[in-house]
Amino acid sequence: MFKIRLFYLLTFLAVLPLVQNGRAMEAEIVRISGEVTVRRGVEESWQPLSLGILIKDVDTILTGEKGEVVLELEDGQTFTLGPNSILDIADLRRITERQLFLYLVKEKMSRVEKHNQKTELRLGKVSVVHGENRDTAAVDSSYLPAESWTPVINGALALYRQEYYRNAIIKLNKILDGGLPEERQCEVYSYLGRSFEAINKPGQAIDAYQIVVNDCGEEHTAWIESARESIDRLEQKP
Amino acid sequence: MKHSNCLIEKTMGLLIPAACLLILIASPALFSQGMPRSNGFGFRVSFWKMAESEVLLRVSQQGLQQTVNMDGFGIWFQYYNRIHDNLSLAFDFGMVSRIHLKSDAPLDNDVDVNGILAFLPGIRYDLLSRRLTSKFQPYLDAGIGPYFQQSVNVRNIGTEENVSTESKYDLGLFLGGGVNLAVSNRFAFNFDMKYHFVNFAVNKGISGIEFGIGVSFMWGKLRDLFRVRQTTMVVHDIYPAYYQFYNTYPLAIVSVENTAGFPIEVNVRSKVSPYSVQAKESGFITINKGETKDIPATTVFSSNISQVDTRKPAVLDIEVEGRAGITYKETITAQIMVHSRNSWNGEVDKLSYFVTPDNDEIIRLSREVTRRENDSTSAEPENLRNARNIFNELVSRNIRYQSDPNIPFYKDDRVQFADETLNLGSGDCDDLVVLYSSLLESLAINTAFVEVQDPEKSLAHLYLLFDSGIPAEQAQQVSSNEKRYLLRHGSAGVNTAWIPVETTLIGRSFEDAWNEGALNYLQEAGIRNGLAEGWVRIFDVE
Repeated sequence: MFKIRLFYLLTFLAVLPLVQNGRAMEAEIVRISGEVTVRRGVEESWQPLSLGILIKDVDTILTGEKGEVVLELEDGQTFTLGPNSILDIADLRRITERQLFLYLVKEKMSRVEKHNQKTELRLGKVSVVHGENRDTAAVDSSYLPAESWTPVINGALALYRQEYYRNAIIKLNKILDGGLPEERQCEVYSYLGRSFEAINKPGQAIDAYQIVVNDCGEEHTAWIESARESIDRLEQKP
Repeated sequence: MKHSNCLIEKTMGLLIPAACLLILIASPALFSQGMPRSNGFGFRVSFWKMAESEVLLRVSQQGLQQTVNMDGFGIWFQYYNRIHDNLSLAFDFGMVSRIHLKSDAPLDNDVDVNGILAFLPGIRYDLLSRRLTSKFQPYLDAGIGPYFQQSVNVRNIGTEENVSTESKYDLGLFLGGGVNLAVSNRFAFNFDMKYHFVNFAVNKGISGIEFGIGVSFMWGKLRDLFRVRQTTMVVHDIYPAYYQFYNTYPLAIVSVENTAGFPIEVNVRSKVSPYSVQAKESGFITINKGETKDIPATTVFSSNISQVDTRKPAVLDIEVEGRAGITYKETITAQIMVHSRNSWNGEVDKLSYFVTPDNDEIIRLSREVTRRENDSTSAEPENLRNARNIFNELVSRNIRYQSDPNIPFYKDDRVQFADETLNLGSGDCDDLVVLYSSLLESLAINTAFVEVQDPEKSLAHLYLLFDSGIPAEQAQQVSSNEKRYLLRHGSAGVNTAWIPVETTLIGRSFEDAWNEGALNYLQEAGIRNGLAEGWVRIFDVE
């Protein structure tokens, strides 16, 4: 564990000077059709979006069933968000390969730490004994319906389709960490593999595809077959 | 007269077995040999069985005839000085008597008093290595020097008295050995045996074997077993708020080199007067020949250190004790600064020590608020509702942000304990974080500190996270905007929604503090990648 942390630290120190620090970014709405709303920062409510409005990196855009919006970014590029999608503007920020690497290492570290916490005996302050309140109503353990994830996944796929591969990888990872129902995981892992493949990371792509092949059920035959073909293709590459 | 003679004979009859017993018990002469310190002074009584002496003591009672031979009883002094490891220079100075009394008739006495003075410089070699823990230390010794003999003869025949004197000088040597019985490294009993070759004769004249018993006092440097190569202070400053942290954390590292030439055991004990409960020991650690080991010096502080209200220096006393037959100690002292109970060195992981959920005032307040504001019909998660009510209570108490006082020549931060902030009514970001954390923790709500060391800002910042207790899958109960919380591992072993709160906004509403905290976290930890780059760090309050 210590070695892993040390490796992480050294890696971080090595790449720190090279990492491009993210700056606050803005985007302008250049085209809107259908229902498109924006949520500013950490506000709860959604407001209708209109042409010419500047939106910031802390904001989020949501498109309706027939909505679509085109954003113009600071570097002049445009990004189209299709129907039934949600996108954090910050997900469009430029991500360097090293930043992606740092993110993935951090994700891996946090998973290792979580795993270790299950077996580690931790003695905190003994002055407080945490007990269970039996009167508390049982918490509803039901998951969010799978369809609730559709706009989020669509937003991530929009990143993939418009060749924001690194951004897509981060977004798809966040989705997987956010409690995505199993029936949607095959699709997300498949696109994670494709995104890695697109940025020429065959090892990580195969890892993602392998999860699809190993863990997905029969109802996801199409994803499984596609993943197998991708693995074969990648493994045949010199 | 007959009665008198009988008394003498009886007395002499007791002396002989007593002397024999003494010799039997202490057959080697007692001397200061084989001792751990560099200098010693010894004293002994001895019996020297000389070749030409007949018997120790004889009293004949036939008529008035009496003969007493008292040969070889004497005293010796010795000074020694260690010159190398097991080898010492020794200087023996002895005075031994030879008394012959012969009385053939009441007025016919022949008294022959012969004194031997010897000055014998020599060497002594300790046979056993110092590694043995035995108190018995055998040795061999040898010396060479002059033996002076001074004779006085008084002869009374009737009323006539003749006195004659004679001086004699001989060169000689001795070979011997013995054993020490060390009571301490300053005092020992010694049993010694020597054979004197006076005039280098083996069995002639006064040559003969000598037995002695005595005592020895020692001083000077103990034999080196080890050398303290370096003492590295790890902790220069003690912060009383987390004094328990130092109970397992080394204050210093002592590098000890074994110079004995054989394995030794070393124990390091240390204390900080007057704050240590007692000296804490490292336990005896074996150091092999020529090896150097780093031994941590730790201490156990008593709770009285938490009452220190002003910064004051203290002394760290470290005692290094080596043992291998003998014990050798060396002491090291270093100054250490004990800060006031409110001082904090800025390490956020230590800030947890200021969180006092078990403080009576804190418990009373948090429970009073939850009891008063209890709304069982509310759909809001319980932890969130309680956190909101606690925050609003602080707002209603007019708790305000207030920077720390400027303390001249003092760079460390000052943190108020939760009850102090409550009573003072104000505090800076760390004080408010500690207060809010203490109150939430007293309700069994897990909290964590978020430390932001923004590379684009000169000052670090701190705010709080608390666990809503709501699992990740149901985080919508906390907020429909996932940017208002973060998912992290909770105490229940599952990912739960944690809510960031900017506690410096204590003058405003809970919503404002939550919004600000969430926005800060979103920008700094997420968008600007602070969490991955390491300048945003989260520390659980444990």
